[in-house]
Amino acid sequence: MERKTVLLRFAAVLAGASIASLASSETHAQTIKGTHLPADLRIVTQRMLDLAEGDGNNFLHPNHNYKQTRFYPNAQINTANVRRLRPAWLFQVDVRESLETTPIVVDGVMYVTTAYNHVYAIDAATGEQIWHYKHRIGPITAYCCGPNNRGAAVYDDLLYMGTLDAKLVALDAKTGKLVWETQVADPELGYSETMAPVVVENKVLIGTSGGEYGIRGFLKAFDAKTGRLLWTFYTTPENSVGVWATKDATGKDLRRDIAKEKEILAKIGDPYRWLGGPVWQTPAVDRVRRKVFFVVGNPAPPLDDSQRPGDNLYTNSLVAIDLDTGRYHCHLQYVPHDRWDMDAVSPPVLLDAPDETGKIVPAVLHAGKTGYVYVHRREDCSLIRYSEPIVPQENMWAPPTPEGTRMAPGANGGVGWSPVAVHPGLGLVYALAIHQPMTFHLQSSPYPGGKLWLGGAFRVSPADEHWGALVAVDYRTGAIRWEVKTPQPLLGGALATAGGLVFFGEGNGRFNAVDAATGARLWSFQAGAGVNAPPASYTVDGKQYIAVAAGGSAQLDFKRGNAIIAFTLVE
Amino acid sequence: MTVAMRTSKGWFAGLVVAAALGSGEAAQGQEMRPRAAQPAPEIPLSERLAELVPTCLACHGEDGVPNYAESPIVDGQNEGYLFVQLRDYKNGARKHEAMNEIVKDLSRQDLRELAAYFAARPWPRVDQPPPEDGSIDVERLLAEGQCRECHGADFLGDGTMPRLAGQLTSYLASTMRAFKLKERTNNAAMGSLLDTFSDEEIEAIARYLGAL
Repeated sequence: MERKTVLLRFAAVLAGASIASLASSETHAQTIKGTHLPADLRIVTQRMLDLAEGDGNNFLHPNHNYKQTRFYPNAQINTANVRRLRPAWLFQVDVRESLETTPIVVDGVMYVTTAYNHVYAIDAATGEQIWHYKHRIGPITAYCCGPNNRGAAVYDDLLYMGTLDAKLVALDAKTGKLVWETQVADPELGYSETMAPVVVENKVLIGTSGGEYGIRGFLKAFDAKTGRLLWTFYTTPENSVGVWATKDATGKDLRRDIAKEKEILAKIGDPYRWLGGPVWQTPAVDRVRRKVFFVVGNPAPPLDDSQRPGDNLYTNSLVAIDLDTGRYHCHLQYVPHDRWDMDAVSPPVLLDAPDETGKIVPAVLHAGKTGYVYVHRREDCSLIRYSEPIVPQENMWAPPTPEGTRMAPGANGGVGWSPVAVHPGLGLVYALAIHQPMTFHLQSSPYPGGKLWLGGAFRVSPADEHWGALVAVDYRTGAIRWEVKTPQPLLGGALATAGGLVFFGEGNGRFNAVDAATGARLWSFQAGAGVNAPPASYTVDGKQYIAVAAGGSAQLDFKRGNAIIAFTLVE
Repeated sequence: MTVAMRTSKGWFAGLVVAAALGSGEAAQGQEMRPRAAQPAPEIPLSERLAELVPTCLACHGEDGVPNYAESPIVDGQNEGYLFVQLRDYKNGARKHEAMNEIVKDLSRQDLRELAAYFAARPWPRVDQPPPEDGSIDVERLLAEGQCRECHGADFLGDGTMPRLAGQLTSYLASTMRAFKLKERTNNAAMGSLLDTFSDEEIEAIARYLGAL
């Protein structure tokens, strides 16, 4: 089947976003040259990856582009016609377990990953399977929150996926055949891979999960052609103590007993070797400054601080490092010496935002489990502002006790791993929020050598009402513009489009489109299983599609399923 | 606790009279034959495994159904879990007099092969009664304990997480109690998660899982 890539013009929609418009025309100047069969997949060039922000045909990055804005620049599906959005096809994967994947689409071929590390290539126009790869997972795996995978990365003619047994595999994108695999870390010590990697300039960047297993977190760069390790940045430096911060990034008292921590430090030394600090969501890449921005997860064990004196750098932080060398550039720690699993996990987003004086500066944004949306200067990671709380905050930061201390947000957030989306024209960021208070129980235990290590237990308090909300925050001011409440906590991700829409799913199976400016509900579809994955969009033969996985969530125990659904407009 | 005799040739069927394996607390010694299972199919054994496996079968059952109430089903259990438990018995992280003794001189390679061998055997079906209808809401307990987060939607586990579905109810109850009482300490997180559950609640969870 021959397929034409259609030039789409978004300049009018992107009025005021001139760079993006320019980028889109450049992309199309490139992609319009070829016509492509699935079996004759076109090579993904660095230039295509760089210009993804304006690419209204493909969906090349897990969060659409290196900045991770999740703003799709095609307006064919829009506020005026979204009511005519219907399933075009439904693909069923072989695994009925959590789906947290973002579909990647290259010239009409979709790649999706599943729980337990299957990968499918699918004809994005028809839903027909092109190939299926199943990773042979080794016997030793350790992961806390479901056998999840959040997606693949593509570059040249290869596709990359991290695996539960802590490997990075490279597949031939045309055939699904394994080209190389490399061990990223030792699963017997609690390392696993669930995040989608990112590829830039022949480097595959991948972090690790395992914050609940006493790992030492990192971000590593592997040679995209060979799998050779190029550099490693450890998220817990050999001096992880920091400045003995008594307040969080917003000035709230952390209620630390610094004198006691200093005593412990004198006794046991720096705890960096098993301090946690996973990087379990995809980094953003600043191509101009050649910096990689990512967020770092919780210290280990999450609830018990008796064996980890100090600020526990760089856990719960935004961190920037040098793309070429992996060397430290800057960081900002949101919650020093965390005891509530308040890890930073929702992928950071690069954008331009006004600083305190109103001057537009290169900024980076992160939506926290804490319930705040933080906006930083890219130059030095310093905080420009933080939003109003987007969920109720109660009893922060009361230390965990053996009997249990109630606090909101709970350990799932605030904003969990869900990627946010940004609408640059409206100056809004859309975050999937969770209200799920928990009691935090302290129970000390020694480092267990790669086993689950919580230092107690989190308990969802059954007496509390739990709910979710899609919250639109003006990142220029930190004010909440609107919110859409949902009956269950939200986990999955958002997609904003130039059609003035925001797409997001719910654990009860609903997949929704709302008006990006007002939050008005415009469209909904019942998928039959939890929609707990970030949506994507793409265009084939001039027709725009919205795609999302409906597989439920192990983490929140939403109904499991196995569907990838693509929607398009009917006449 | 009865301690098996060790001869110059290693542990032998005499072990059958020894303590039940698995949970670490005192054995009840009661027989566990809920029903006759199909004989496990023959899986070719290396010379080394042929030497080791009979000792295991003495308690864990020729046909996969354990001979003792507190010996777990190991046939068809997840390979990673079996390996890690054997490793923990060897390094002392999991305490059980007989198991610690049996594995102490085995190599890491032996443990890997044993884990792979038993994982490859079919899980035996044993008919065990579900919880009686009563005042305990098991679904609520499973949610509160966040059991499915690690053990999976169908409690089949994966990798180093054990399958719980269809495991012996008696073993599940005793090992959960051992976690709660911090007698089994090779997964402290389990101890914390079970901390607030009563013995009756643990029993109800065990029956629910055993009947799956």
